[in-house]
Amino acid sequence: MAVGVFWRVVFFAALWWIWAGDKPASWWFGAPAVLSAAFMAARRVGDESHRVRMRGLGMFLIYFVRASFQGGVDVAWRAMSPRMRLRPGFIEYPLRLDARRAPAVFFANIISLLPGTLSVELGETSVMVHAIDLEAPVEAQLQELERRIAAMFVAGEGA
Amino acid sequence: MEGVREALAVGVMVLGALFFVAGSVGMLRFPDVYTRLHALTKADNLGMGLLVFGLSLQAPGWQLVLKLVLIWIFVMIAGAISCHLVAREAYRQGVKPEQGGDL
Amino acid sequence: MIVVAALVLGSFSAALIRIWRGPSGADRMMGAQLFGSSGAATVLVLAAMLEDWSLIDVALVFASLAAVTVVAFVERTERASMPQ
Repeated sequence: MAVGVFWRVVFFAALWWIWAGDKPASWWFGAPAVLSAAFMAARRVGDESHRVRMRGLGMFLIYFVRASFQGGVDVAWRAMSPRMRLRPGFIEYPLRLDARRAPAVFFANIISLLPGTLSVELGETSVMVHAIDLEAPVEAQLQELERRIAAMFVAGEGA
Repeated sequence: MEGVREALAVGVMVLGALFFVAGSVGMLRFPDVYTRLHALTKADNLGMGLLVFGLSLQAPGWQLVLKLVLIWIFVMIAGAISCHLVAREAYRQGVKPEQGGDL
Repeated sequence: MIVVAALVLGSFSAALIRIWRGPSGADRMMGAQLFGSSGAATVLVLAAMLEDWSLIDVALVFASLAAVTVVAFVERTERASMPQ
């Protein structure tokens, strides 16, 4: 818990520094804001902590930039082509991650930035996904994302 | 060298702006709430990313670059979460998606 | 640079059209969200054009306000449609 608070203070202080610049007077506001943000974050998340593997994170970022590029190009292409190729519909994707924990929430948010998929509802054991083209390999893409997220997070003490 | 960087920056930013336009076109042309959300979220995310990249090439000082990247991250988080919330709300209220073949 | 600004402003006006035409509340909300992100983009381009980098802070305000608006909208409709 104490270690968690420490790293959160460092994190929020870094954010404040990026925003407010290095004028010392800004810390009259910054210090209380940083401390209360760190305290609230620690209270909110409590004992659920997840460590992130640095290597996994790096790999994930590369994958994410590539995938969001494809996602943008894909949807822009569909929007601009005279005959829009859309075969939309819902797909229920069974979750392997624990739906109550942070990685699953992260998963649901990233889904919306990948090519052709949009997360609609995060259920207990599955995610409802809207696909823009049901003939694309949606399921395989979601499996790859889930696998990469699982590889990035190391389950914390609470798991 | 400075000229090359300038040209690259402008090129990347034009590309980013084109994605914004494509996203808006999709949002006007696509048939239902869900498909429109696809267009909005993904095109805006990429367009903003490219704009931020182009601006970073011109920014004086790396602290400003960090700030720009932070804006991109915030826009992305806000986009993904609000996209999910709007889709969930539509789904819960029983908005049916358009189905099947070429629309 | 002018071209970039014009394109982004075009997308800004698309947001207005979507808010105007609807048809559903969710569509209008999406318009408002695009308003926020393309507004932020417009200000970013202006920052580079005018070389006034303090405008970047304005872009952040645009982006974060749009996010808060969407969350408020969903909260509200959710409460309104909740069975007692």
